[in-house]
Amino acid sequence: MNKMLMFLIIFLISSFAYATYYIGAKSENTWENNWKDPWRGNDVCSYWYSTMGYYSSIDQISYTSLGSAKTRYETDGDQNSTYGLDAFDIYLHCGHSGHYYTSNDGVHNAQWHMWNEDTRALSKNMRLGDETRELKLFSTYGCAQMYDEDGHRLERWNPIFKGGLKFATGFWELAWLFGSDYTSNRQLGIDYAQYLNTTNKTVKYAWWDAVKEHPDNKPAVLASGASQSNAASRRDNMRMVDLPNYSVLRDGDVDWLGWTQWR
Amino acid sequence: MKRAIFFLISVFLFVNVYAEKLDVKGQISDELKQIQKDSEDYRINRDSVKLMVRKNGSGKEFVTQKLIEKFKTGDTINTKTSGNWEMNLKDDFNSVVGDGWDLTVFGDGTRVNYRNWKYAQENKAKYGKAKEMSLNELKTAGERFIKEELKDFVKIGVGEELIFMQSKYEVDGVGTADGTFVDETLASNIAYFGRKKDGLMFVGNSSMIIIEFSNDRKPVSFYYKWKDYEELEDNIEVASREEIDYRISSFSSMNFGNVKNLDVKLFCGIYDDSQFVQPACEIKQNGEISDGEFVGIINIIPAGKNHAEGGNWGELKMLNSYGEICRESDITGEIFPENEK
Repeated sequence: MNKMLMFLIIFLISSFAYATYYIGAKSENTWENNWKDPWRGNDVCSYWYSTMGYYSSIDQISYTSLGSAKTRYETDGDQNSTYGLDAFDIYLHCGHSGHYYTSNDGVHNAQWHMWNEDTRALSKNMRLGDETRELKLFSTYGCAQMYDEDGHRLERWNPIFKGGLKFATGFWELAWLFGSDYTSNRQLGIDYAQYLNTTNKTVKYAWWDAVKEHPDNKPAVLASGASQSNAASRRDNMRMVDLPNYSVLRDGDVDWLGWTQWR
Repeated sequence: MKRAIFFLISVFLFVNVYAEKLDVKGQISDELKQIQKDSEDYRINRDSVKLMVRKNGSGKEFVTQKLIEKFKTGDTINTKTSGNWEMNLKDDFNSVVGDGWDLTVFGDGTRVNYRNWKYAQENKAKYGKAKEMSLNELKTAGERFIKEELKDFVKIGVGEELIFMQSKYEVDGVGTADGTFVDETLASNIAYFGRKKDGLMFVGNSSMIIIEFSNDRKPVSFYYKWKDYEELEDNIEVASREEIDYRISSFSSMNFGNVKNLDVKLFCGIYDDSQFVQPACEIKQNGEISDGEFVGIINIIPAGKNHAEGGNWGELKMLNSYGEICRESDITGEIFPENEK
């Protein structure tokens, strides 16, 4: 009996110490009927995904295109255990994104473009971090989904964070890529993966250090918080290694959001 | 009653004096503006460019040790390895993590990233939450740091000069989730530097340095991608302005006709294609592809009449494979004034 208990304790301790992260990515280079201009998102996402896979603490769950992926982002389908965003602990989107005002209900949205013509995932329909693996870190290499020149960024991201998402990285304006220098585009994805895993960087600086080489990149990060100081602390201190240890804040617990913008 | 009024006034003052959204944005330097103007006026204003080849760096192990030694007694840029620190040696990079700092040395040791996040974080509002360094202050402080502290790692060779390109700022903020309260603080000041050789700018991010200063204006981070080069006997003849424009139109990625407010910037000079350094023009295009959605793409256009082959240069490979393809792109109108079409 004692041996059994000991085994169980060792098993629990070791599974905590070697906690694995489920990761996923979706990206696109071209869009149906050219409804959006080509942009080499695959360079970044594919190399981020493969580099993350080199680390023993990572389980690669899925890397797919953005074809018919709207439901995987929005709350009706994000729980899918292979392709939904809540199937992962860490997720990277590489492709067109932005902000989008839906005039029928007067809502300011962040948007992520799907491959299918005229199809977007909208933040008002997104609630991440509340199902399956409970997504913790949501990154986007794409333009302006954290846009704030109109002062509506928090309105856009509040529904997403209310599900329990802890941290998001992206851009408040332009994200640049080379049209043909695939190596440099790929290096960006490799750097982000290596900085997250090896250098003990906070998520905030893993992102900035990976994307800063384009002088005109305008990145940003967002973190949820229960209070002003809690939001600032989560923004400044969260690392990949301790993502699960930060408390999950949902719905009314998400009183504050912290951000960093490189302007 | 008096206490309540005093409390309300205090809250009002706090919110209005200390809570604010900062109006801080990076700017382009006069030097970079001049390079852009010269590029738009002349493309490359000379007949030929000396071909250069990359020299190998001294290796990531050597550079890692040298950097640790150099900054071990540093103040805000320090690599103190007493106490808790850890070194990871990987195939393509070395990572060193100390108390509040991290150092990554890539490849052959010519690409390096260092950050003292702890000092920057602990001194965020020390100098003033909204007191950013001006362009001139960043240029002076950045040049001093590079020339004094990085001189053994970033060598400015014969005919080379450091070019201050632009400023950028890291701004931290917090706000209520409903957006009714917002407060921001300047966290760091960032300077971007490029490199010129014999008056020609390295384009396409092929040689650069980024220095970051904390809110109290101390250096806390550096990043450099800086190789040494060797001049060869060969010259690369520079293509005519018309030929370069033709190639820009042919090989620019953004040409589908659905971009609004297209902005095109041109920087001509030389480009490290991973093996050789040869004449090239960097064309940066951005615009709105639908309401609220933007795109930014950079192409590096070959600007020689002939080229050395062997490097990793997508547009040069396209030029060699497809030749000079005539394609009237969106940017044609931007780069060819009406009377030159």
